[in-house]
Amino acid sequence: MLGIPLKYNLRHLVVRWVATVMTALGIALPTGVFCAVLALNKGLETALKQTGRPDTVVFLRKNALSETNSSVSREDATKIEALSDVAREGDRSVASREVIVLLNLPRIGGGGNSNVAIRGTTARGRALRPEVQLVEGQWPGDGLSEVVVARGIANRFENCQLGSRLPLGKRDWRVVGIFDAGATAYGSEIWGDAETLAGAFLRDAWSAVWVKAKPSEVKSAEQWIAAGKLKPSMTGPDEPAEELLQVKEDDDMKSLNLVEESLVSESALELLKAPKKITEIATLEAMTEVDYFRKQTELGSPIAGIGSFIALVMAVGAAFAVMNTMYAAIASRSREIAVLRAIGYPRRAVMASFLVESVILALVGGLLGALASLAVNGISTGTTNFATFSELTFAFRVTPEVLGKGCMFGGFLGVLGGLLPAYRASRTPILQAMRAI
Amino acid sequence: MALRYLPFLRRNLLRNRRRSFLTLFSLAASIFLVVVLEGLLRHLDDMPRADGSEKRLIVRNAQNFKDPIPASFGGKIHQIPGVQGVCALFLYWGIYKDLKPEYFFPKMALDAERLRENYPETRIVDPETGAERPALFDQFVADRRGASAGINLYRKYGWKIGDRIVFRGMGLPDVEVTLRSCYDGPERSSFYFHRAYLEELMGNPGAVTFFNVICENAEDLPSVASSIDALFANSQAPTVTETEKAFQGQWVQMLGNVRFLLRAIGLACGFAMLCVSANTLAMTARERASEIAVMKTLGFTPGKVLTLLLSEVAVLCAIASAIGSGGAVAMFLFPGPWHDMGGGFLLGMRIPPDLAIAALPLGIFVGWASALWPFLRVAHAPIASTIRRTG
Repeated sequence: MLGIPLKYNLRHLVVRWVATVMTALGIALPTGVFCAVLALNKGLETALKQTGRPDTVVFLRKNALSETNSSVSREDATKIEALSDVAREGDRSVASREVIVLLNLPRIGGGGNSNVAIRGTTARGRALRPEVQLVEGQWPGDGLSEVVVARGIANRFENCQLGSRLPLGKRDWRVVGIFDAGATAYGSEIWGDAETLAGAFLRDAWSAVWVKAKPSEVKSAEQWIAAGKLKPSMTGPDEPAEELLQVKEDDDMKSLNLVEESLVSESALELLKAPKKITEIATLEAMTEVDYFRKQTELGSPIAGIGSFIALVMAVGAAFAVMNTMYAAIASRSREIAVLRAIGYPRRAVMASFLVESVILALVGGLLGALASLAVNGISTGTTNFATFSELTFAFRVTPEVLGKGCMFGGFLGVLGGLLPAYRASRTPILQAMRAI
Repeated sequence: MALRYLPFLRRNLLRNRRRSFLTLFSLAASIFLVVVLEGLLRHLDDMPRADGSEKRLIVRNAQNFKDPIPASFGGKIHQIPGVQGVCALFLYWGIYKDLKPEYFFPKMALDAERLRENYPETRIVDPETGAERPALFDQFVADRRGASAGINLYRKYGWKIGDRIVFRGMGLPDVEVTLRSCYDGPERSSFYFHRAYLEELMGNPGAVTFFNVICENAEDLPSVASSIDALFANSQAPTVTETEKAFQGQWVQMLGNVRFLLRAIGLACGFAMLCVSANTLAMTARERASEIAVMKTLGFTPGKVLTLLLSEVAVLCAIASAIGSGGAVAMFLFPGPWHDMGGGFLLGMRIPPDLAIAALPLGIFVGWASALWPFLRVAHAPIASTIRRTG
């Protein structure tokens, strides 16, 4: 049995275009909000989940969750650096003792203050994070009151532009450079020299120690596969492991996860167990850089929570609106429906036809809303990451996935709003409807 | 005179019950959101709306909200003229149960014996009945490892007096305390325990996150604030002193440009509402064109017809507003999962009555704005051509 032709529904939508447009707009708005919330979440996630390498390990105070809560004594830092699983360059370990201080800074153009994280780091610390690239000026000199600022912070906070002076502690620090860190969490920081900052803030302990795990001895992908650390599907067998490690720089989250799960080297795994060796009562904790940032997403974002709630309530209102339009459409077409039934279309077909009409209507709205949300794509803003208690810069990311979900959201509203009217249409009494004026 | 048309309004509203109902709820959803969003903005503006806050100052490290200041500053602050009481607080970062947003609430280690003096507006209550029970407070003060929590937390987590609460410190010592007291007031969602106990666990660093300073007169706040900051300007930890209200506002500013976000969404809601009601009313107007022509034949002037139609819309929108804004008020009257959204910022949120009432004219205004065009058209349509039309 053939269904009622789609053309029938489409024509009606066009003929009653005012109702179609109004209802579609009613759906477009919640869809737009929904997409914007998804894009916000996506942006935050990207900033936190795409930061880090699986072979970089951070040592923190146990349960500290973030460097801002953490402290690692100088003795412990020395012990960490001496661990045999830490990579070496010449006779020195690839490790960076770092300190984080927060600074309450005013946003440009009002909008209040927020806390920005200032990382005291070292040349090795910079080498541990190759995604951080200087784009203007120079790196701060050792022992000088100089800082470099991430571009996202320089654009949004006062006193953070190249050449300006940042009041930090008892003195002014000169902004000597601007760096870019892609979409990673480091793009929300200000960097200075570790010892100088620790001295200025009278810190006798470090916030964290970052180390690079010794490279694994396995050399080729074949051996990786043999060791069960790599799925054969991921690569041709001849590629060297070094190139595989590059995969993690991809934008694609999936490949990142795969690589991360499979390529955490033995040395890194050993390092994760190391806190127990260093202190008698385990006061320290170690995690990979990837895990460190991923964990910070667990607290959730207050803004995203509020946004989802708003989209939900708007959706309820929109579903009612769809229902209203569809009931009206059916009421004014009861004779047509009766005719359709009389010429042999079963109830099923009538129901399906009206449901499809409502879904098309909703999809148009959903598409409109999703497309409208593209307006926020790439807009860079910031919110406080409550795990670190500091500003996290992110950009709204309206990805194809977000658009797809938005359309589905709209379509779902169509089903929700169309189901009851469609059922009613399928129950139209044929004789009465034909006789009615 | 006008009352005579009431049955007319009632009948017309009830004629297509399903449509009235759907329009009602669709409008109510938007009104609800507008009220909640505006309420949220107000809540963020001055949270908590403490009656005592106008006499209080918060002293913090000039650098940020997190770095400590020496506890010894407390005594010096107390000596400043105009200062009535000083309560030192240490913001404790600890995990209750699990690192999940639903288990997140502010935890403060403070000078328990100063608590009542600095927060005169809070009442000590029985967590189950909500009735005053001042004796509980003495039990809290007497027990070094005791704690006092806001009544919201008791309700939310099903706590009872005497329960043991354990926090895993985030870079701080773990804390295990016993619930001894419960308080209720404008703010009712924080957790307090003894600073002396935490100090001991931390090895007596003498560190404080904030000082809460209550002044004798509200007018003294600016001068006291500047004296405090001047006093420590050249110390190891320069301070920033601001009113409690301004301080609370800063937490919200950290969320980012929330104000803009909420306003934008509120506007979108208003527009959605306009679309929905315009659509429904246009459908109504179309269907009733012939009947309106009949009324006009009977001698109703276009003005009168329009008045009748607009009153009908006003009644519908007024009911929708009442449902939407009443729903919003009711929802925030009782603690529920919605208070957890926003990571604790919505705790204790209420819809102010004036806002709830303001929803009424707003709803009617939107209704009229969307009704005017379609209704004007039918009211002024030539009788002859409309009366002939069928459906």
